[in-house]
Amino acid sequence: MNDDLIIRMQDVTKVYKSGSVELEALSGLNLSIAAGEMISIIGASGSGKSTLMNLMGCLDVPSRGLYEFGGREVAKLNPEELADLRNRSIGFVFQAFHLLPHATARENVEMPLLFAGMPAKKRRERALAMLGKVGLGARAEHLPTQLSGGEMQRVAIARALANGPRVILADEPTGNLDSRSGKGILALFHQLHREGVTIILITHDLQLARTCSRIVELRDGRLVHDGADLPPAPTEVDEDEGGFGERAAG
Amino acid sequence: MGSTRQGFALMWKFLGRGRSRPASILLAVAWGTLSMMLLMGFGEGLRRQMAMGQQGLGNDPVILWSGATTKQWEGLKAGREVRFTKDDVAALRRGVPAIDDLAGEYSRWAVDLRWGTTSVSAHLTGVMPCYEHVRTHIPRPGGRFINDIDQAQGRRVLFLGPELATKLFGSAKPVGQTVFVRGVPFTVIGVMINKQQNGMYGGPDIAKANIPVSTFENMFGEGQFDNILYTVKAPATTKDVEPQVREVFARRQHFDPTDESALHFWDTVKNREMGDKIARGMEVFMGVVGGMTLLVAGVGLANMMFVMVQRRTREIGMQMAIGAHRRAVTSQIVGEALVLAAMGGYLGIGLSWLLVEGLMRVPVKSEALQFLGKPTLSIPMGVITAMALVGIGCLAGALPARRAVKLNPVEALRHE
Ligand SMILES: Nc1ncnc2c1ncn2[C@@H]1O[C@H](COP(=O)(O)OP(=O)(O)OP(=O)(O)O)[C@@H](O)[C@H]1O
Ligand SMILES: [Mg+2]
Repeated sequence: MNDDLIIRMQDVTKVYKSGSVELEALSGLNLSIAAGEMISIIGASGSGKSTLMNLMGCLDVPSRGLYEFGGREVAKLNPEELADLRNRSIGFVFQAFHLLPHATARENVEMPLLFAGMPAKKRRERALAMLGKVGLGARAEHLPTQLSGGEMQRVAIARALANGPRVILADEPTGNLDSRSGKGILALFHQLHREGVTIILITHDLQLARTCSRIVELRDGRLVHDGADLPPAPTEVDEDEGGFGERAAG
Repeated sequence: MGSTRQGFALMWKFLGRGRSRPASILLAVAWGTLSMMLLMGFGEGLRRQMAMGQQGLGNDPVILWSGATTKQWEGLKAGREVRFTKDDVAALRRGVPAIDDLAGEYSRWAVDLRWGTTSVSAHLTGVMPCYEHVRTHIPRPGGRFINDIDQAQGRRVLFLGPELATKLFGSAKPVGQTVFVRGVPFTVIGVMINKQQNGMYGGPDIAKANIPVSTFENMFGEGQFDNILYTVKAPATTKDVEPQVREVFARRQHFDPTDESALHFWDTVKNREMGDKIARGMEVFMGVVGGMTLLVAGVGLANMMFVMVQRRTREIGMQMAIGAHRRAVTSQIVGEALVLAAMGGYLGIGLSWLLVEGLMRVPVKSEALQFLGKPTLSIPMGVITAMALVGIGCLAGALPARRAVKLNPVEALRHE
């Protein structure tokens, strides 16, 4: 099973320094994620979820400890190698979508393909295929402003899928969506998971987390739960009925 | 290199899409170039106008008029008039070897000229062949100026200023025609090209009729020259030659060589040097103003690029997150700055050209505008301006771009 590990973290610590103030956002984290898993990471606001995702996504490097992505030690890669790694192996889905506002849906999806050096014609075909996959085949030439929130997030997912990544990292992907659109996005992730993509879903919505086969909880930068079920109460996360991301991100 | 190409491709694809900032950058560069081009263009036009007007009088002649003595000398009273005769000119030739061309000049106002039934009253001068270059009496093609044979044989030949020629002949061809000067038949041998003339005596050359000195003497009798004209072999030394000329006349006509009023010199070399100085001063001034214009445009450009990159920091973070190399990001920004600077420069040069052409079409009779001359847009100036702006654009893009890619993607994405 060990060669199938995508993510391996050993005693990972992340310290933010601002001036003379040091803040340990993650402390001594041990976490391994295998190919094909669908895992949710939960925790209260400020518990370190996004920090963890940035490390896993090779957007940032740990202050201490060992992090290997697909068997390669991330700390030893230079910025260009990191960029290539993100480009080929990781798909990001952000809460704020981060689409280029003046580019069409198709052009947004083509971006990672361009950075991968794919020629224009193939890029176009691939982008259209990905948009079809997320159910937006008919909206390829629309600008983000002409799309709904749920549709924008689908474009972002199509972009994340473009280079056929090994893992999709989604940080609060439904945080800006109404519950209907949120459910649709979740269903899409489950579909991708069935097709074999590893999914890491960061959320503080327990209804959402519950649908994953593995749930990890962070509290004050420490891993406090890792299992197939929701952690037993008490937890700081609300669990009211139908609470689909109603709680604003901190 | 692949990353650079990717950056340029992206930049080109999204250039100007729904973005007002690049448009304002482009206009700023265009404005800077336009100001620079017009400033330099008018400066150059003015300089040429001045140089041309300077040349109109001739190539560094010194013109000499006689006055009256104001000091007693060798037992003679003051107030005697100094006279210019043929012998005086000959003495000058012998006595002052520094002199190059030398001529005595006759002139007579309101002489009647008649061709067919057309009659015109004009200023007639008796001149020497050297006037062709010393006083820039350059003939139009198809004609010639008075030559040594005309002078030696006292031929009745006539060389006309262009304005006078038009008055007399209208659209007919003057060369070869017979014109009666005070009833005496003369053959027109040439018409002067039109010229700008700032300094003049006895009216502008374009309105004068010229005949050989010898012919003039045959008609009006040998008398006193109205003025003498000479050039000096080394134009810079006219000041040193002046006392030598005074000395020759003082000895011959018995007056005090220090008597300033006996002879009046018009040293055009001095004028020209002054004009050159003004022109040089103007060039320096234009250069400074132009440099400042460029500087202001450059600072504005740099500032605008900086703000634009700031605004796009999150976009840059996103691009880096999905796999853009740093070079792909910097080349987008630098490329955009380059394209905007180049397009702005092009637009500015084009606009200034249109403006100048338009201005030239407007018929102006105003003296001030005519003195400004024809603004001359210089291509090298445009290229230098555009290149300077492109350089500044490059720098203005590169600095904030470098800053942006130094951030890690997370910081860039969090940027407000
Ligand atoms: N760039 C940074 N510089 C300094 N402190 C930071 C930075 N990023 C995060 N932090 C701090 O680290 C801690 C963890 O932040 P993080 O964003 O990972 O929390 P989170 O679990 O994602 O919270 P939320 O649910 O509100 O998104 C917080 O206290 C936060 O203030
Ligand atoms: Mg977060």
